Amino acid sequence: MLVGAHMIADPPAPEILAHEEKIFPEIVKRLGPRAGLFKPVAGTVFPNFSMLKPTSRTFRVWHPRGPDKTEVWAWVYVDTAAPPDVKEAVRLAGVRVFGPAGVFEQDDMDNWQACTQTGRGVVARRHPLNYEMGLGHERYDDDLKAWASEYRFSENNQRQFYQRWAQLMTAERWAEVKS
Amino acid sequence: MREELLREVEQFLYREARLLDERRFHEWLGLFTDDVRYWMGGRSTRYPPSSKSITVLDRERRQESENEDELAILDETKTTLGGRIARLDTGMAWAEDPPSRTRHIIANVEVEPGDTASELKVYSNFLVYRTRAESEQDFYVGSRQDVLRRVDGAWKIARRKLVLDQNVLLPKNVSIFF
Repeated sequence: MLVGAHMIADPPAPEILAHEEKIFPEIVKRLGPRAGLFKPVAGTVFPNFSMLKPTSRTFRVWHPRGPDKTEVWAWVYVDTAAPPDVKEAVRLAGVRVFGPAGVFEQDDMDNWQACTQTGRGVVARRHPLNYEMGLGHERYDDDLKAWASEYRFSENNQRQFYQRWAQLMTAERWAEVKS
Repeated sequence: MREELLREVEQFLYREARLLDERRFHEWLGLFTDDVRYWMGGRSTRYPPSSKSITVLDRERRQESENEDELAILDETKTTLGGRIARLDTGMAWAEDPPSRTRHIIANVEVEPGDTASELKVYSNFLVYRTRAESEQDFYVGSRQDVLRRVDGAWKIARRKLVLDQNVLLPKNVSIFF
């Protein structure tokens, strides 16, 4: 029998999905119809607050610690009104998938370290990073009030991130920076 | 506790450590009972109970170890441990490709009677050295509290509680077993 990460990690525990489906109408009621227009897997509030919810429910803060170091603080969050079995499922998914020993996170730590090392290499430094995926296929969605891509996977978010970064880095004064 | 039983338990733990260092993970998994809980937590920096600091306001804040129903580094069943081992065979377990070279040093073994006649409480300390790729190296140091159970004439691990001594985990990840 082939058993992999999917067995313990993906899809999310059925009790988590059932609970979120149950409370969804209340979420839309409280936050408005925009909340029902997208289902993020991962996202970042510029510049360093991120969330991740493919299996567990986590958010994290990225602390720059110098040119080649980042410290990550990660939390698992759970609805305080959720029943005990849902809380336990979220806790276990957090530990088993995105904790320091998590079946995804242990690889990610290695990947990020390798990306940092590779980026410092002689050949890597000769080339700009390519963020063209999905270029020309993004559009401003009036209902969502945000930029969206026609594709499930794109680098639209990455382009938005670095455009904002470039705006802030090149502006002479706050008044020049679009909010 | 009889001398021969202590030797038997020590040999069991040393053999288990060798299976891990030789990456014989499927054989290692066979040493656990089907109902095992395999748990690893860390420790936090706290003021001592005698401290006159702000901890007088909150006694709970003196507790160095995590509760077992809170977030942990590992909280596994035999099934999820099996999933982790099966994952290593997929060719896509990047944190272990190339694999870690580990050395498990197990010491301070104490054996006490267990809750039932077929069980033992076993305390030990571990010092695990992990080196990987060109120059990566890490130390994982802590204590273990095991429950060993006699099943069909052989010892099996029915409970393993691991507590690391580090406050912030200094290795970049935990992709090995203890």
